Amino acid sequence: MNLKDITNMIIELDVDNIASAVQNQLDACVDPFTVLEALTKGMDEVGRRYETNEYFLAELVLAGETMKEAFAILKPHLTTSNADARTQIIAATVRGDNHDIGKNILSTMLLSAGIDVIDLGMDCPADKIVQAVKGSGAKVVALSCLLTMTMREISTVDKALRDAGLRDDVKLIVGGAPLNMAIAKELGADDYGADAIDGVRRIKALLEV
Amino acid sequence: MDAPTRVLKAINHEEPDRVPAFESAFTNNTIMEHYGIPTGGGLTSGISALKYLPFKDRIANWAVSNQKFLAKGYTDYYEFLRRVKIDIGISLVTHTQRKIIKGGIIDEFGRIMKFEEYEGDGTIITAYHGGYLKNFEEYESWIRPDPHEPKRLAAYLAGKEVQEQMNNEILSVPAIGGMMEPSWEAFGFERFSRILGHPKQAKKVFDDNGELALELTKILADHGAELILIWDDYGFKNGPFMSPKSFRTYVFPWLKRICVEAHKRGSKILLHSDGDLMLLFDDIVDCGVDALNPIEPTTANPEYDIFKLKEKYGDKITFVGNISPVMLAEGTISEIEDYSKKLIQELAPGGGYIFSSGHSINPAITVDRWEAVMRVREKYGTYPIQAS
Repeated sequence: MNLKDITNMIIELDVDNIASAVQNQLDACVDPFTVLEALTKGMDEVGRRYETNEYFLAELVLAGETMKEAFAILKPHLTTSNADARTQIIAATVRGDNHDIGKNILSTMLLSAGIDVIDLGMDCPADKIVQAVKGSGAKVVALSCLLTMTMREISTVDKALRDAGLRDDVKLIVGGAPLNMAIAKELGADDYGADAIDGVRRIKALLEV
Repeated sequence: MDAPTRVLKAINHEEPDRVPAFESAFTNNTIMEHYGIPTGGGLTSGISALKYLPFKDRIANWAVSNQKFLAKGYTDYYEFLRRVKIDIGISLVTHTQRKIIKGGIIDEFGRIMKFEEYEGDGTIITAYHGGYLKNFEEYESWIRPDPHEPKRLAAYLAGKEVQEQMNNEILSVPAIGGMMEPSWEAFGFERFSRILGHPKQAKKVFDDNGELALELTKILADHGAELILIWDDYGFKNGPFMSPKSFRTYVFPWLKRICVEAHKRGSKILLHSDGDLMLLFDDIVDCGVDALNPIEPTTANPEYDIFKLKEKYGDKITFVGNISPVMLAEGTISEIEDYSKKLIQELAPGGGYIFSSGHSINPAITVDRWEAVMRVREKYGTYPIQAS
């Protein structure tokens, strides 16, 4: 088994065997970051297949699950200094919204793209987001909302960040069923991700990485 | 004309007296109060009281198995629908609780549902909070919903009892779970994606839900249900939840059998599925679905457009939708009026259209916007439809 097989296991969504395959690579003294690169290559191909309708949400999510299995083995071997060098973002679903499929897949895709995610979970109040920005210095906040009745929370977060004097230092990107670019901007966001793949692309652009 | 005739004429692509109306869910205390209907039906205090009752699961099960009790529960809601000229009321044949938990229930499919209160007006919404089942092994030990449990027929008959009391001003339609939503929501999507990675496990889960829906369709149709609502979700904003191939393997064979058995007995099938269904539309039509709700207008696909779909499939299926819930919550009155009018004028001539929102009436929707919709229906929804 080689690194190409690791890439293929992500593409083929081999959630049951990826952990042992990653462990084998580490046992063979392969550099953990080289293994990460192979995994990321697989996720890039999954993303491409998703965008061309070869894969659908279920495959995208299963690829994320496969990545999680791989990461559980790999993460302790990725050195802290390298992890710190990455740029951090904050992800959450807005207050009142308990739908996290989109946020979770975005978080996994970001992880594989080398971006650290501070995941604040579901139903997240604005003050918690402000505290997290203050505490981490994150440059991007990614918010998800599925419901029409919760989308105004995006404006609440925008305002809370302004009130805390943080808004100039942080970009706000949003995604979810009731939103589009025009609504996102109207609610105070800087950007809008049409899906997880688009979200990763835009977050990377916002972070300039 | 009574509601059953109005709705069935529309589904048969004939012109009734006026365009019928439907909402898959109407959770908005403000609008209900505006029309003089007490909200919640004691639901909030009922939920609070249940926490302290001994044998609470047993009591709740008794409540949902008793036709008279259920009929009382439907009365206010159906009366509200009558006042806002919605023709279809739902009786809930599946999705009943298996276990009461803090702040909600685990339903019979294994979904964790919590009662959430909307801050604005206190509307209680039953919201999905993840799957109770962690893996296929847990699924196999979960007692499956039995289609023959008396509570199911009791729910359907309770709805019909209220329909009769209201002189058929409402058509009571039994709603049953479909194949996709009950399958994935029992686990949550992440765990379910793992099940899908094992075709034998996936087939078992889908087949169980397909068998349940098929048997219930037969039972309800045999008891005279004119229209049966399959409550499901096949897609989301960006497309189907899984590949069209997987739908053809696991879901559509059952959907087709359901439609065949319903039609054999003179019943019609109304499918509710959110999301962009463009890649599945031919299959849904081929399965024999009579009417589709809500033709969600806020998907990312500009081709998933009710007016374009009407051109291609207008003679094969009845459309039930599609005023954007975002427009209903945030739009101007004239935007809402213009779009509602366009829906009626372009889709309703010749039948084949039932007026509805493109998702549901949630608490963010204001009274004046809802009344704009009502006004347009009143003014332009009478047959023969006047061209623009």
